[in-house]
Amino acid sequence: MNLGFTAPGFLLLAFPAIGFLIFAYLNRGQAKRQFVSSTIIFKQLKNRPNVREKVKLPWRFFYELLLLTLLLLAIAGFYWQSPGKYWQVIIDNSLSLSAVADASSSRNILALNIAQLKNDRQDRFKNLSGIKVCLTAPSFQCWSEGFESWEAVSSKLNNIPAIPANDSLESVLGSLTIAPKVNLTIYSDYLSNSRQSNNFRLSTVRTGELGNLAITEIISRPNHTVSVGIQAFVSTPIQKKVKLYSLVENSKGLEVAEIKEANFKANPEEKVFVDFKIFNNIRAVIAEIDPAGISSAIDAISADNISYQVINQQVSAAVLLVSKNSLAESGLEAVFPGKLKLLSPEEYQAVPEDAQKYSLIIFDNYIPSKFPSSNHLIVASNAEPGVLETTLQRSPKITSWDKESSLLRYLSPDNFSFKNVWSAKLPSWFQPVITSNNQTILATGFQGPIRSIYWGFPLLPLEKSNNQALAILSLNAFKWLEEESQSPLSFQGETLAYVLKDQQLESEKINGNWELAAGIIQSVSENKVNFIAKNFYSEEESNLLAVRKIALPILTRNSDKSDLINTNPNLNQLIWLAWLMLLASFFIWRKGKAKA
Amino acid sequence: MPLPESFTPQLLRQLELQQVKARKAFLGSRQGAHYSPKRGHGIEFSDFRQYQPGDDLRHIDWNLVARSERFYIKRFREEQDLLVHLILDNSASMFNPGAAKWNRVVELALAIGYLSSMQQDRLQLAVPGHFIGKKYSGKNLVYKLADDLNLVRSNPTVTFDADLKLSFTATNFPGVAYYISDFLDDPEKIKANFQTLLARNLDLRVIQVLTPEEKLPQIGTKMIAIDSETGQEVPLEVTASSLVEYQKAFNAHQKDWQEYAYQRQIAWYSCDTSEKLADICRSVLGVSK
Repeated sequence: MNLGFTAPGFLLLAFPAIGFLIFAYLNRGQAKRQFVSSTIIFKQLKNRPNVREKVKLPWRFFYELLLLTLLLLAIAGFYWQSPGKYWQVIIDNSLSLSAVADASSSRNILALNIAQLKNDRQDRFKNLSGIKVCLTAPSFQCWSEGFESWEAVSSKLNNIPAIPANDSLESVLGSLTIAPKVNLTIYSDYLSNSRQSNNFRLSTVRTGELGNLAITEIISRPNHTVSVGIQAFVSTPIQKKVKLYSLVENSKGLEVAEIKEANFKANPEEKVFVDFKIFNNIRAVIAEIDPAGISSAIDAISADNISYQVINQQVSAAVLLVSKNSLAESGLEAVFPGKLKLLSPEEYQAVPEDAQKYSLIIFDNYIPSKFPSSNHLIVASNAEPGVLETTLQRSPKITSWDKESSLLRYLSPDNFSFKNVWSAKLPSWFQPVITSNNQTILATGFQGPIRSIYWGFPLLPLEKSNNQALAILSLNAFKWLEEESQSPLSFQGETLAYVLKDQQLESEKINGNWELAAGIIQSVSENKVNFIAKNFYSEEESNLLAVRKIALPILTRNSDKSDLINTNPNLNQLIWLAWLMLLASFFIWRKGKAKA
Repeated sequence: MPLPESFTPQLLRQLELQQVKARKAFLGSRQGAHYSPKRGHGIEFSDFRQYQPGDDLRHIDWNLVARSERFYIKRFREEQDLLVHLILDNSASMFNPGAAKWNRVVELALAIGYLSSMQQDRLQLAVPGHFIGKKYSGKNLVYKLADDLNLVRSNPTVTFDADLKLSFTATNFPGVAYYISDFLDDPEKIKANFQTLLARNLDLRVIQVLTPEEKLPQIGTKMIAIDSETGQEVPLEVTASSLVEYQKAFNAHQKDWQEYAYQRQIAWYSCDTSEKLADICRSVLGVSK
């Protein structure tokens, strides 16, 4: 029998409590001075109890001592376990565990981990008295409060799905307290970077890097175009095919109307966009990396090869200005009448994903932390560094002028006399348009279908600008940004990410708290049919190039407390017993008094 | 001062149907409702006496003269009032553990006073330390009595026995005496007091007023009982068996007093403060008319 306390510090309360009880008892035992009308009768009594009464134990004292002990045990979290070997198991069943372990095997890491668990049971826990299994996904949860028999657990082990997890194993373990006496094994794809012991170890079958392809997002563009974002977590360049299923809405729901496919090339760790033209009446699209010819060596996880997107109704175009100044001060309202919306840099930082709703974003004296997924113009004069870093040039001298650029139509270098300009080191996909002292101060670029302009000198306020050349340049820039649109700035879409496969639906049956599987979900409210795309892409799960290491939870020395093992099953019973005894003593006391 | 709340119209009506009746005839000072040993005017025939010069000729029984040829005077029992003595114990024990005992004493005293008032008797009060032989009579007797008793407080310094004797030194007319106390004092002292009263040829009636706690004290573990009058301390270890022992001792105490009273023709009544006043009056005070 293993006995212990989860909070032994509370036992220190025993000293003052017992002291108080003894004091109270002794005080109660002291003779009480009481006035009586006459002592004539009392004088006739024998003043000492007879022998039988003398040896009678002060039962009430011991009763109260017992009651106090019960309460203290409850507070200190007294527990006991029958002798035997108990095994605590944490199985990491996050999505990355669905990766095929190596090219030679068709089994995923989770299945191999489960097999390893069964082997461990045979080798190390032959005389197993109880096992407690906890899963990390969708959120950390154990199958039972206490320990179960191996027979009860073994049949369920084969049905554990690898699904997206809300919390990483690292964060889960970081919040746990584990006692040294606990036999704990963690089955994961993490490697341990801390010392392991016999009864406390992290087990994994994964040994090295794994390649993986994932669809990260689908972006619907204004000109009836969708861009499929594909991230290649591979170590060598690849060339594969992606399919796009276009769905139309009819009385039955959604139906595939067209299937398109396109090849894509991606370098190691590169993100590429593949554009597809779609019909006007398309309601949703499904993008899938063609599985044909893909080996597990370059795509270990198949679950992230598909993504869903809903094409919402046509909306009017919108332009977002991210500026500290007001709309009126910008002078842009005349250029984009009724289409302009203003956000402060702080507001934009709070909801950067909202940028996808806009067909054009103008950053005025503000450099975002990453390039948005819409066409954009970054006016970087005197701005804090973000995705770009700028350098101030005083009294600049134009050193190159791209005559071919459509931005410089109707303009010549003589039209410009800059006082200060800000040059920037730009990514390779930018083309310089104007350079000063051989540093780029105006550039255009394509990132997939997204157009970018870097603008290294003041643009706004547009209306008050005395420099007409700047006004022409800005109009040229806006025109270039909208150039490809037949109906400019006309569509709005949502960006969605990862998808769940059918097998993950099983998680609903196991855990009962999985809200919705990934896919396109049809919902009807107020006789209106809506479609919602749900995906669960996570770069952390899909990126298998990095071999992740994790520190085991810190063992709590000098303590039996463990968050994992429910060592305190008797707490409630103890408290209830103490209360019942307290109630009983109250009634006995009342009855005794009434009798008197 | 108005009468206590316990003097309800029902109780007063009940008292009006009762009367204090002495067990023997006492000489009164004026006409009343009690037979007196004095011969004279009255309704009830007493005896004959030979005529002596100076007797009223109207009292000669002429029928007897005709039969015996001697002169005899017809005599009748005279009806006179009664002097009711009230002796109230106001020692500290009557005010301990609360005033319940003294309040009950006052109620009983007022009930006796009310009866006396109804019978046109006189009442003489003895409360040691406060009143020594104060007399009351007339219709307002009971209210005057209530006023006076309201002033009475416990006075542990008073010498009860001395005051009691002093109270009866000036008493010319014996009568019915109600002695109300808890009688939990030294028995010898109480007996001496009884002797003083009996020596005055009183029709002595004793009313013992106790509290329920005195009949059966509450259970404690250890206690030191302090006598409220003498301050004497008695250490006790009260257990269930000692309570039984207490009851036995108490019953023996009561029985001793009852036998003592019976032997000396003292009427002994015992009541406790939890009993209803009407019930006590019915059993203790007088008889129904």
